Amino acid sequence: MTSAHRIHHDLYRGSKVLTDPGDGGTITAIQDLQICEMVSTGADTRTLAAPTKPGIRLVLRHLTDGGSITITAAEGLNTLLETEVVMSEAGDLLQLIAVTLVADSTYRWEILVNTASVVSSATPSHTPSHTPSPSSTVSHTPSHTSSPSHTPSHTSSPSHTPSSTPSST
Amino acid sequence: MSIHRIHHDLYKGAKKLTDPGDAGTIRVTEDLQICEMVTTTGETRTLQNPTKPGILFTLRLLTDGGDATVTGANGLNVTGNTIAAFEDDGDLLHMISVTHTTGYRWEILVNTGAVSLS
Repeated sequence: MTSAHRIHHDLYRGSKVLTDPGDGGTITAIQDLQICEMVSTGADTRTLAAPTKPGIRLVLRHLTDGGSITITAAEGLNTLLETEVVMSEAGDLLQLIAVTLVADSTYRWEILVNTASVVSSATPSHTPSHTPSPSSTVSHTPSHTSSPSHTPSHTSSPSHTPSSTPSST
Repeated sequence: MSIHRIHHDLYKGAKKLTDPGDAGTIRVTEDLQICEMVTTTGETRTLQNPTKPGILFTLRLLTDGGDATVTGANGLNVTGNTIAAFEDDGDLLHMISVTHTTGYRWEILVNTGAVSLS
Protein backbone atom coordinates (compact mmCIF):
# COMPACT_ATOMS: atom_id res chain seq x y z
CA MET A 1 0.00 0.00 0.00
CA THR A 2 1.33 3.37 -0.98
CA SER A 3 1.19 5.93 1.79
CA ALA A 4 1.03 9.66 1.32
CA HIS A 5 4.70 9.78 2.25
CA ARG A 6 5.72 7.30 -0.43
CA ILE A 7 3.39 8.04 -3.30
CA HIS A 8 5.77 10.21 -5.29
CA HIS A 9 8.60 7.78 -4.75
CA ASP A 10 6.39 4.97 -5.96
CA LEU A 11 5.32 7.07 -8.93
CA TYR A 12 8.96 7.55 -9.79
CA ARG A 13 9.59 3.81 -9.66
CA GLY A 14 6.43 2.76 -11.49
CA SER A 15 6.66 1.88 -15.15
CA LYS A 16 6.03 4.85 -17.41
CA VAL A 17 6.37 3.07 -20.71
CA LEU A 18 3.44 2.35 -22.95
CA THR A 19 4.90 -0.01 -25.51
CA ASP A 20 4.80 1.14 -29.11
CA PRO A 21 2.37 -1.18 -30.92
CA GLY A 22 4.26 -0.77 -34.19
CA ASP A 23 3.06 0.00 -37.68
CA GLY A 24 -0.69 -0.21 -38.01
CA GLY A 25 -1.13 -0.69 -34.29
CA THR A 26 -3.40 0.97 -31.77
CA ILE A 27 -2.15 2.97 -28.81
CA THR A 28 -4.54 2.46 -25.91
CA ALA A 29 -3.81 4.34 -22.72
CA ILE A 30 -5.01 2.28 -19.79
CA GLN A 31 -2.69 3.87 -17.25
CA ASP A 32 -2.07 7.48 -16.31
CA LEU A 33 1.10 9.52 -16.87
CA GLN A 34 2.69 7.23 -19.43
CA ILE A 35 4.88 7.80 -22.45
CA CYS A 36 4.83 5.94 -25.74
CA GLU A 37 8.03 6.30 -27.75
CA MET A 38 7.51 5.14 -31.30
CA VAL A 39 10.01 3.64 -33.69
CA SER A 40 9.24 3.76 -37.39
CA THR A 41 10.87 1.75 -40.12
CA GLY A 42 8.98 3.27 -43.01
CA ALA A 43 5.91 5.42 -43.46
CA ASP A 44 4.07 4.08 -40.43
CA THR A 45 0.64 4.60 -38.97
CA ARG A 46 -0.79 4.36 -35.48
CA THR A 47 -4.31 4.70 -34.16
CA LEU A 48 -4.72 6.50 -30.85
CA ALA A 49 -7.73 5.07 -29.05
CA ALA A 50 -10.07 7.57 -27.44
CA PRO A 51 -9.70 7.89 -23.67
CA THR A 52 -12.45 6.65 -21.40
CA LYS A 53 -12.44 9.48 -18.88
CA PRO A 54 -11.20 13.05 -18.55
CA GLY A 55 -7.89 13.99 -16.95
CA ILE A 56 -5.63 11.17 -18.17
CA ARG A 57 -2.24 12.34 -19.39
CA LEU A 58 -0.15 10.74 -22.12
CA VAL A 59 3.01 11.65 -23.98
CA LEU A 60 3.64 10.49 -27.54
CA ARG A 61 7.12 10.77 -28.99
CA HIS A 62 8.88 9.78 -32.17
CA LEU A 63 11.99 8.05 -30.89
CA THR A 64 13.56 6.69 -34.06
CA ASP A 65 12.79 8.17 -37.44
CA GLY A 66 12.72 5.53 -40.11
CA GLY A 67 9.88 7.40 -41.79
CA SER A 68 7.00 9.63 -40.82
CA ILE A 69 4.38 8.32 -38.40
CA THR A 70 0.79 9.31 -39.04
CA ILE A 71 -1.34 9.02 -35.92
CA THR A 72 -5.11 9.09 -36.13
CA ALA A 73 -7.39 9.90 -33.22
CA ALA A 74 -10.96 9.61 -34.44
CA GLU A 75 -12.48 11.86 -31.78
CA GLY A 76 -10.07 14.72 -32.41
CA LEU A 77 -6.96 16.20 -30.89
CA ASN A 78 -7.83 19.84 -30.38
CA THR A 79 -10.75 22.25 -30.35
CA LEU A 80 -10.88 22.09 -34.13
CA LEU A 81 -11.32 18.34 -33.79
CA GLU A 82 -8.45 17.67 -36.14
CA THR A 83 -7.85 13.95 -36.15
CA GLU A 84 -4.40 13.38 -37.60
CA VAL A 85 -0.89 14.26 -36.59
CA VAL A 86 2.25 13.49 -38.51
CA MET A 87 5.48 13.03 -36.62
CA SER A 88 8.10 13.45 -39.28
CA GLU A 89 11.23 13.88 -37.21
CA ALA A 90 12.87 12.05 -34.35
CA GLY A 91 12.10 13.89 -31.15
CA ASP A 92 8.67 15.10 -32.21
CA LEU A 93 6.57 15.03 -29.07
CA LEU A 94 3.03 15.68 -27.94
CA GLN A 95 1.78 15.91 -24.39
CA LEU A 96 -1.92 15.12 -24.25
CA ILE A 97 -4.71 15.25 -21.71
CA ALA A 98 -8.08 13.53 -21.94
CA VAL A 99 -11.06 15.89 -22.02
CA THR A 100 -14.80 15.52 -22.37
CA LEU A 101 -16.29 15.67 -25.85
CA VAL A 102 -19.85 14.78 -24.91
CA ALA A 103 -20.69 14.93 -21.22
CA ASP A 104 -20.48 11.59 -19.45
CA SER A 105 -20.15 9.59 -22.64
CA THR A 106 -17.41 10.53 -25.07
CA TYR A 107 -13.88 11.73 -24.49
CA ARG A 108 -11.02 12.82 -26.70
CA TRP A 109 -7.40 13.86 -26.43
CA GLU A 110 -6.36 17.50 -26.25
CA ILE A 111 -2.83 18.56 -27.08
CA LEU A 112 -1.22 20.46 -24.21
CA VAL A 113 2.31 20.67 -25.54
CA ASN A 114 3.73 20.26 -29.02
CA THR A 115 7.48 20.52 -28.80
CA ALA A 116 8.29 20.14 -32.45
CA SER A 117 6.82 20.33 -35.90
CA VAL A 118 3.99 17.91 -35.45
CA VAL A 119 1.26 18.91 -37.88
CA SER A 120 -2.37 18.11 -37.73
CA SER A 121 -4.91 17.96 -40.47
CA ALA A 122 -8.48 19.24 -40.45
CA THR A 123 -10.25 16.01 -41.03
CA PRO A 124 -12.84 15.77 -38.28
CA SER A 125 -14.53 12.42 -38.38
CA HIS A 126 -17.86 13.65 -37.08
CA THR A 127 -19.81 16.75 -36.27
CA PRO A 128 -18.60 18.33 -33.04
CA SER A 129 -21.03 18.66 -30.19
CA HIS A 130 -20.13 22.31 -29.92
CA THR A 131 -18.93 24.84 -32.39
CA PRO A 132 -15.17 24.90 -32.13
CA SER A 133 -13.64 28.21 -31.37
CA PRO A 134 -11.97 29.66 -34.43
CA SER A 135 -9.66 31.60 -32.18
CA SER A 136 -8.37 28.54 -30.41
CA THR A 137 -4.77 27.59 -30.83
CA VAL A 138 -4.37 24.76 -33.26
CA SER A 139 -2.18 21.85 -32.42
CA HIS A 140 0.54 22.66 -34.87
CA THR A 141 1.42 25.77 -32.96
CA PRO A 142 4.63 25.05 -31.12
CA SER A 143 4.11 24.86 -27.41
CA HIS A 144 6.55 27.61 -26.68
CA THR A 145 4.28 30.07 -28.38
CA SER A 146 1.11 28.93 -26.71
CA SER A 147 1.71 30.18 -23.21
CA PRO A 148 0.09 33.57 -23.00
CA SER A 149 0.64 33.59 -19.29
CA HIS A 150 3.84 35.46 -19.97
CA THR A 151 2.26 37.76 -22.49
CA PRO A 152 -1.13 38.64 -21.09
CA SER A 153 -3.55 40.11 -23.53
CA HIS A 154 -4.79 42.70 -21.14
CA THR A 155 -3.23 45.22 -18.86
CA SER A 156 -2.46 43.58 -15.62
CA SER A 157 -4.39 44.60 -12.57
CA PRO A 158 -3.11 42.36 -9.85
CA SER A 159 -4.90 42.31 -6.56
CA HIS A 160 -1.65 41.49 -4.85
CA THR A 161 1.96 42.18 -5.38
CA PRO A 162 2.91 40.66 -8.70
CA SER A 163 4.75 37.42 -8.42
CA SER A 164 7.77 38.82 -10.17
CA THR A 165 8.72 39.55 -6.61
CA PRO A 166 10.16 36.61 -4.69
CA SER A 167 7.03 34.53 -5.25
CA SER A 168 8.01 33.83 -8.80
CA THR A 169 11.14 32.02 -7.88
CA MET B 1 -1.13 0.09 -4.37
CA SER B 2 2.20 -1.27 -5.60
CA ILE B 3 4.75 0.43 -7.78
CA HIS B 4 3.72 -1.96 -10.54
CA ARG B 5 0.12 -0.81 -10.39
CA ILE B 6 0.47 2.81 -9.44
CA HIS B 7 -0.15 4.23 -12.92
CA HIS B 8 -3.05 1.91 -13.44
CA ASP B 9 -4.51 2.92 -10.08
CA LEU B 10 -3.96 6.56 -10.99
CA TYR B 11 -5.86 5.94 -14.19
CA LYS B 12 -8.75 4.46 -12.24
CA GLY B 13 -8.84 7.24 -9.68
CA ALA B 14 -11.35 10.06 -10.01
CA LYS B 15 -9.92 12.93 -12.03
CA LYS B 16 -12.97 15.10 -12.09
CA LEU B 17 -13.39 18.13 -9.88
CA THR B 18 -17.06 18.96 -10.15
CA ASP B 19 -17.88 22.38 -11.54
CA PRO B 20 -19.37 24.41 -8.66
CA GLY B 21 -21.52 26.42 -11.03
CA ASP B 22 -22.10 30.14 -11.31
CA ALA B 23 -20.48 32.17 -8.53
CA GLY B 24 -19.06 29.02 -7.01
CA THR B 25 -15.58 28.37 -5.66
CA ILE B 26 -13.25 25.83 -7.21
CA ARG B 27 -11.26 24.22 -4.39
CA VAL B 28 -8.47 21.93 -5.48
CA THR B 29 -7.90 19.34 -2.77
CA GLU B 30 -6.46 16.58 -4.93
CA ASP B 31 -3.60 16.49 -7.38
CA LEU B 32 -3.89 15.99 -11.16
CA GLN B 33 -7.56 16.84 -11.44
CA ILE B 34 -9.60 18.50 -14.16
CA CYS B 35 -12.62 20.78 -13.76
CA GLU B 36 -14.77 21.18 -16.86
CA MET B 37 -17.12 24.12 -16.54
CA VAL B 38 -20.56 24.48 -18.07
CA THR B 39 -22.09 27.93 -18.41
CA THR B 40 -25.60 28.97 -19.32
CA THR B 41 -24.86 32.69 -19.43
CA GLY B 42 -22.06 35.01 -18.38
CA GLU B 43 -20.85 33.38 -15.17
CA THR B 44 -18.12 33.64 -12.57
CA ARG B 45 -16.00 31.25 -10.55
CA THR B 46 -13.47 31.81 -7.82
CA LEU B 47 -10.37 29.65 -8.02
CA GLN B 48 -9.20 29.23 -4.48
CA ASN B 49 -5.51 29.74 -3.88
CA PRO B 50 -3.60 26.48 -3.53
CA THR B 51 -2.17 25.44 -0.19
CA LYS B 52 1.14 24.00 -1.34
CA PRO B 53 3.44 24.17 -4.35
CA GLY B 54 3.58 21.59 -7.11
CA ILE B 55 -0.09 20.70 -7.53
CA LEU B 56 -1.16 20.22 -11.16
CA PHE B 57 -4.66 21.25 -12.16
CA THR B 58 -6.53 21.68 -15.43
CA LEU B 59 -9.45 24.06 -15.90
CA ARG B 60 -11.55 23.91 -19.06
CA LEU B 61 -14.75 25.37 -20.49
CA LEU B 62 -16.76 22.36 -21.66
CA THR B 63 -19.99 24.05 -22.72
CA ASP B 64 -20.10 27.70 -23.68
CA GLY B 65 -23.41 29.22 -22.70
CA GLY B 66 -21.59 32.46 -21.92
CA ASP B 67 -18.18 33.56 -20.73
CA ALA B 68 -16.79 32.04 -17.55
CA THR B 69 -14.76 34.60 -15.63
CA VAL B 70 -12.47 32.89 -13.15
CA THR B 71 -10.67 34.82 -10.43
CA GLY B 72 -7.53 33.60 -8.69
CA ALA B 73 -6.86 36.17 -5.98
CA ASN B 74 -3.12 35.57 -5.66
CA GLY B 75 -2.58 35.71 -9.40
CA LEU B 76 -2.24 33.33 -12.32
CA ASN B 77 1.12 34.30 -13.78
CA VAL B 78 4.27 36.28 -13.11
CA THR B 79 2.54 39.46 -14.20
CA GLY B 80 0.01 39.04 -11.45
CA ASN B 81 -3.08 38.77 -13.62
CA THR B 82 -5.92 37.54 -11.44
CA ILE B 83 -8.75 37.06 -13.92
CA ALA B 84 -9.06 34.47 -16.66
CA ALA B 85 -11.95 34.77 -19.11
CA PHE B 86 -13.00 31.54 -20.82
CA GLU B 87 -14.93 32.70 -23.85
CA ASP B 88 -15.21 29.62 -26.07
CA ASP B 89 -15.81 25.98 -25.40
CA GLY B 90 -12.56 24.11 -25.35
CA ASP B 91 -10.64 26.96 -23.74
CA LEU B 92 -8.23 25.31 -21.34
CA LEU B 93 -5.64 26.26 -18.75
CA HIS B 94 -3.16 23.76 -17.36
CA MET B 95 -1.68 25.10 -14.14
CA ILE B 96 0.78 24.35 -11.37
CA SER B 97 0.75 25.79 -7.88
CA VAL B 98 3.73 27.89 -6.88
CA THR B 99 4.85 29.82 -3.85
CA HIS B 100 3.59 33.38 -3.56
CA THR B 101 4.54 36.22 -1.25
CA THR B 102 1.39 35.48 0.70
CA GLY B 103 0.92 31.76 0.53
CA TYR B 104 0.61 30.13 -2.87
CA ARG B 105 -0.88 30.88 -6.26
CA TRP B 106 -1.54 29.22 -9.60
CA GLU B 107 0.83 29.54 -12.54
CA ILE B 108 -0.40 28.87 -16.07
CA LEU B 109 1.70 26.26 -17.85
CA VAL B 110 -0.42 25.87 -20.96
CA ASN B 111 -3.19 27.97 -22.47
CA THR B 112 -4.60 26.02 -25.37
CA GLY B 113 -7.37 28.35 -26.34
CA ALA B 114 -8.14 32.01 -26.19
CA VAL B 115 -8.34 32.38 -22.45
CA SER B 116 -7.70 36.07 -21.90
CA LEU B 117 -5.99 37.30 -18.76
CA SER B 118 -6.35 40.55 -16.91
